[in-house]
Amino acid sequence: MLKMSASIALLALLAALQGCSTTNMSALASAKVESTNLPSGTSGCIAPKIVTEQGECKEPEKLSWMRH
Amino acid sequence: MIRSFIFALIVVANTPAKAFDSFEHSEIGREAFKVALTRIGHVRKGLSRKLFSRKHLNTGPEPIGAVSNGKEFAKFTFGDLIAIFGDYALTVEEVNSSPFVARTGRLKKIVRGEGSNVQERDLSIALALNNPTHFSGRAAQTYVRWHRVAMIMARQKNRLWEALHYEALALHSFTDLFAFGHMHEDRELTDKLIAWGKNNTHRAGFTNQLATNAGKLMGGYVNFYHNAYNWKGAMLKNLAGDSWRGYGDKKYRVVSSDCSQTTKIGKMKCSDPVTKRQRQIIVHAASVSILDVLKAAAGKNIRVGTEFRAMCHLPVIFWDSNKPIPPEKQKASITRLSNAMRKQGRPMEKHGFDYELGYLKFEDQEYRGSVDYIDYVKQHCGKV
Repeated sequence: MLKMSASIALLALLAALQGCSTTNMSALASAKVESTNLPSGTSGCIAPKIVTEQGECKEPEKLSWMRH
Repeated sequence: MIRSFIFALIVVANTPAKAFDSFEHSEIGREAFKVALTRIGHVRKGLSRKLFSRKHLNTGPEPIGAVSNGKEFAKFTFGDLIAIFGDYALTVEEVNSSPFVARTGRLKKIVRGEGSNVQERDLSIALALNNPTHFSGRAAQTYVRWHRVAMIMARQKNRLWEALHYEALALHSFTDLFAFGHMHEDRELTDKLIAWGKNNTHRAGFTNQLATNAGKLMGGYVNFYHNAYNWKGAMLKNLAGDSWRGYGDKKYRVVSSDCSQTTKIGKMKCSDPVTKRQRQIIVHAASVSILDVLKAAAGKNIRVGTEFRAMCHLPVIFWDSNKPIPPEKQKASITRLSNAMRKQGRPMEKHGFDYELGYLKFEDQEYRGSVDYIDYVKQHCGKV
């Protein structure tokens, strides 16, 4: 009986954990989808910061004609 | 659902595909002209005043005349002209002709964001349906073509006013190329389909129907992708080594939701940090081009091979963006968007695909690459 209760409890725990992880995964997935559905520069690396070609988020360099 | 999806694409075909809105083009032109005048003043003191005392030019707020039958009938800012050419008139001759006299007042209001006009709107839609000079490689070629004419004309006696008209015509296409939605459109394919549609509409029965709808369907596709990229924006880079975030129409100045202004003129007061660098780069690029026309008019030597140096500032590489999920894979969203826009009193057939409402989605994968016409830009910038 005890063994059976323990098994049921374990199953319930697994189910709860799975539910939890599924919820988190979908939340994460929808958060990712959300950021791709916003204009560039309004989420993640926020303007005036820019993303370099290598993917770094940083302050932009001086503009070319201002450098000379 | 499929029927309503196809219907949505067809009706949207009749909405204009603009890189930047008229008042945005006008703002770019006005600012770039101001910078060019300041810089020509650095070449020689009083030079700007001297140049603008020439025929059909003046030093007032509307310095450039429009002339029909040898008579000046209107005065424009350079911003007015850059916005009018391409979207409301296709040639310098058209703007300087007697039928244009009646249009000048209302067009000035439209491009300055002070009003609208149904007749002009319809005309701009008709022009937009066949506007390859606003997109990718052909926009670059159009700039080269008319900037060359402007440079030649500027050197001729009393023709600087005319040269500035050609320069505005050139710079409309040039500034379009800063809009992400205009950098990578496959216009060749769409043009072929639209042309086929137009050529077959005279036929009877099914062919006529098919031709009409096929052309419009492609117009709908153009609007779908054009609006997606202009709204989404990307990181852009030019051959001069500058990188910035670039967008498209209605996002020249305002992207941030912090701007509480609602009118076009009011929004010009918002100093949106998201678009600041975009504005600096576009204005600088256009001012370099105008400055060379003014230098040519002043008799300065423009070194061979540098006539198109402004093209070094055109964006040619992009990253940190996403492609929209293809329209055929989000049919339900398009139908929902269409209903939502109708409820808002902004039907999709008049306003195109609105990404702001969040119904239309983008792919997860990053979209990056370079434009098809990068070698053409390199060649004219002098980097090859």
